[in-house]
Amino acid sequence: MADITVAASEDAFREFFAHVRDEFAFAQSDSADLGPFVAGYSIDIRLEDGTVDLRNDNTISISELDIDPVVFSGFIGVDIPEICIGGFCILPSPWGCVIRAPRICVFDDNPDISLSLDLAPFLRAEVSFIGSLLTRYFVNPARPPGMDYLTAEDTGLENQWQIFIDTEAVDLDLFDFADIAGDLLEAALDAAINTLLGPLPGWAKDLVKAIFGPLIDLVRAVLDLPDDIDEWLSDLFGVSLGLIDLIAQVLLDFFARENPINVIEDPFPILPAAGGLIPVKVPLTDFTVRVTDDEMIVEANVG
Amino acid sequence: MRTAVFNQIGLDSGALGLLGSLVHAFADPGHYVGTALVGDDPRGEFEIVVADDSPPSTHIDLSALGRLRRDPCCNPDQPAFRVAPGGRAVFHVGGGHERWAVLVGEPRSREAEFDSRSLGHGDLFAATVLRPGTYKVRNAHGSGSTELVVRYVRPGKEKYTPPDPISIGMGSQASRKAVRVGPAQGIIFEATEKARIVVALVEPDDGPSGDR
Amino acid sequence: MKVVALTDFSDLFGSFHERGLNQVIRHVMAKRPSLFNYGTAWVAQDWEKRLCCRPEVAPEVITRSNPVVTVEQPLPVPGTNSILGLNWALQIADLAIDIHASDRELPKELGGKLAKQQLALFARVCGGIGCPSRRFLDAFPPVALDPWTVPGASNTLMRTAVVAPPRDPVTLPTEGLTCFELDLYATAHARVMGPAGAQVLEIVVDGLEIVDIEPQGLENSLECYAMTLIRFVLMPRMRVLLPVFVFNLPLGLGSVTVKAATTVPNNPAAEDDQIKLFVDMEVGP
Repeated sequence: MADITVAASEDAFREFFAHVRDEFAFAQSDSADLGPFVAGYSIDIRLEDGTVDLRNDNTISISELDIDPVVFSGFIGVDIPEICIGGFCILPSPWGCVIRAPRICVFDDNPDISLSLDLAPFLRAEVSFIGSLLTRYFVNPARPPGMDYLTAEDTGLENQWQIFIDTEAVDLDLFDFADIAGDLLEAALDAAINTLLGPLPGWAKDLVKAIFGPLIDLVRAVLDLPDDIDEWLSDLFGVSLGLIDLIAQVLLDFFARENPINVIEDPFPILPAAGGLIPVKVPLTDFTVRVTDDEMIVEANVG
Repeated sequence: MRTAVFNQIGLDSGALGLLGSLVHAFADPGHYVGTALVGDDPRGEFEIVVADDSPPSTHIDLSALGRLRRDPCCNPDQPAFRVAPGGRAVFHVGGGHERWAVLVGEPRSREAEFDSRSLGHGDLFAATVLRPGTYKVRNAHGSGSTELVVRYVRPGKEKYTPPDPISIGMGSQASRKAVRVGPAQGIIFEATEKARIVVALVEPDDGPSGDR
Repeated sequence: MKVVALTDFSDLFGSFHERGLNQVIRHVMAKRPSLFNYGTAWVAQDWEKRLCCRPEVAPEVITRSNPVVTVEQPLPVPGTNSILGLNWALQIADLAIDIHASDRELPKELGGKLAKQQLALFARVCGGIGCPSRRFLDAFPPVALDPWTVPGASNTLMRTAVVAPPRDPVTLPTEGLTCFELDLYATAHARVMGPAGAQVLEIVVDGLEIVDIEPQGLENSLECYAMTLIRFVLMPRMRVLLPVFVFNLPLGLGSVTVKAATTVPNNPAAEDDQIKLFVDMEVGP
C-alpha cells in the first residue's frame, strides 16, 4: 500500500467534465492564400452532450461530444474574370481583321469578390476519444544542474509530478456538407455579384451576369471545382485551412494531452517558510495514476 | 468599375462617347494636324503623318489627347501618329463622361480632311449599344433612318456572347429598315454620303419583370 | 462481488498511511529542528556537543542559518530572586505515530493496544540540567547571609554579611548537561466539532504514560504536568479548520470547491494504519 492515496470518483469526473464542457469556448479566424483564390473562416464553437467513462483498462473514454457552432462562416475571395465589350472586327479582310473596335472593360482590374458562406449548418461534428492516464516527472529545463530545491523554489523552478491524459484514439468527423452546398455557393456568388454591381440598373446587372454565364460555372472555372462540391468544401476548410487539425488540437489540448490535468510540486510543501525558517518539503516518489471502473486513483510514497 | 459605360444611353458619331469609334481612311501621303473637341471647345491637338513605312492603322484616344493638353509641363511635344497611305485612323474615347468630336486637316488648308460631325463617304462609325430597347437611328445631315431593337438578355444556363457585328449603310437612306441586335453586339455604320449618325433611345426594354 | 471503491462514500478520497506520516514527521524534525529542541543560549551555541541527544538536522538548515535549538531562559535557582540560573535542554528526540490497528504494544496503563479510531504517539524525550562543577562551587562560594540566631542564645550577632548591590542574572557555568531520557506514550483520537462549513478537527488526548520513572508519585506528577501542557498549550494549537479548498480552473473555466464530506461516520477516520479523508466536490462558475 502506498503512503499517500488520492481517489476521484467517476461521478466527480463526470461533474467536472460537464462543467469544463459547458465552459468551453473557442473562437478563431484565419485565412490563407490558396493560389487562384483566398479562403478563410471565422468560427466560434461550444461543446454539448458527451459522456465520460472510466474504464477498467486504465483508460478514460469521452464519447459523443458534440461541437455546436455558434458561428461558423467561411469566405472565398476570388478574382472573377474581367468583362469587356467591343473588340469586334470593324474592317475584315480575306487575310483577317484589319481594324478592331477598341475594347472597353467594365472593371478597372480583375475584381475581387468575397463569397460569404454560412457553414454552421454543415458543421455537425461529434468527437470521441480514449485516453490513458500517465504520470511524468517534469524537471524544469531552466533549472541549472545542482540547484537545490530551496533555491529552485525561490526562483520558481521547482520540479513537478504531472498527470496527463495521453490520447490514444480520436474520432473527429468535422463536416457533413450536404448536396445543397453547390446551391449555397451559387447563392453566395449571386449576392457577391449583386454587391459588386450595386450601382448599376437591373438591365445592366442582367447583362453582366449573362456575359459571365452561369455563376456556378464561373466559380467552378475560377476555383477549379470538381463535381462534388461538398467534398471540395470539406477539403478546403478541413484540410487546406487546417480546421480539422485545429479543432482536434484545441479539444485535445483542452482535455489534457499537452496540458497536465494535475501538477504536484516536488518536493511537496508541508510547512511554509516563516520568520526566516526554511519551508518543510517532502519528496514524493513512485507517483502513479490508474483508473478503475469506479474511480481514478493517484498513489505516491514519501521519500 | 466603369459605370460610365452603362450610363451612355444613345450614341452620336459627332459627339463620340465610350461606346463609339470612328474610322477614317487617309488616301494621300501628307502631314495633317488634328484637334480634339468637346462641343466647340478644342481640348487637344495632334499630328498625323501619312507616309510609307507606317502601320496600316493607328488608334487615337481623344480623351487621352485632352489629358495631355491639360498637363503641358510634362508632355511638351505634340503627339504624332503615323499611318500608311490608304491606311486608317481609328478615333475613340478611352474614358470619361464627355462627348468628343475631332477635326483633321492639312496645315493652312481651309478644307477639313475629316470632321467627325460630318462624316464623308466611306467613313465608318462603330457603335456598341448596351441598353436594351428600341432606338431610332438617323442621319442628322440627311433623311436616312432605321429602327434598331436591342433585345433583353437574362442570365441563363448559357453564357451570353454578343453575336458578330452587323453593318448598316447610312446616307440619304439607311441600307436596312429595321435591325435587331443583341446588347454589346457591334454595329458598324458606313457613311454612304455626308452623315452624322445619331442613335437615340425611343423605348427602353427593362426585361420581363421591369427595371429592378 | 463488487469491489469496494475508495470513493463509495464521497466524491474524492485521500488517505495517509502511518508509514508515510512517520516519514513526514522525520522530515519536519530534520528541517524544522527548533520545534523539537529547546534549551539555553549556552546549549544553542554549540548544540552538537551540548544537547543530550544529537538531533538529525538537514544540511539546508545549517546552510540557511536556521536555528536548531529554540533558546529559552535558564532554569532559575529558587531563592535567588532569579539571579542564578542553570543551563538546561529538553528535546523530543524521536516521534512516531501508530494508527489503529496497533503495531506495537502500549503500556498497560493505556490499555495495551489501540481502540478503534485511535492513534498513538511515541516520543523519546531527552533532557538535562547543566550542573555547575565542584571546582566552580569551591571557587565561588555563595554570598554570605546573616546566620540564623537560636532564640535564647547569649552570643550576639556579629554582622558580617554585606548587603550586595542588585546584579544581573548569572547562569552558572557548567561543563555539560546531566542528561536523562524518557519514553512517552500518548493515545488520542480525532473528532470534528462545529457546524458544516466551519468544522474544526481536534486531536483529543485520551491517555499519557511516561515509562519507568520512580517513585510512582514523581511519574504521576510529570504525567500530570505533561498532560496539562498538552491540554492547554499543545492541543489548542493543533485544531484544524476542516479546509474548504477552492481551486480556480485554468482558462477561466470556473472553480472547483472541495470540502469534507459530512455523511461519513468517521471523517477523518483512523483505521487500517491510515488517516482517511472523505471529501466532496462542487464545481461552479
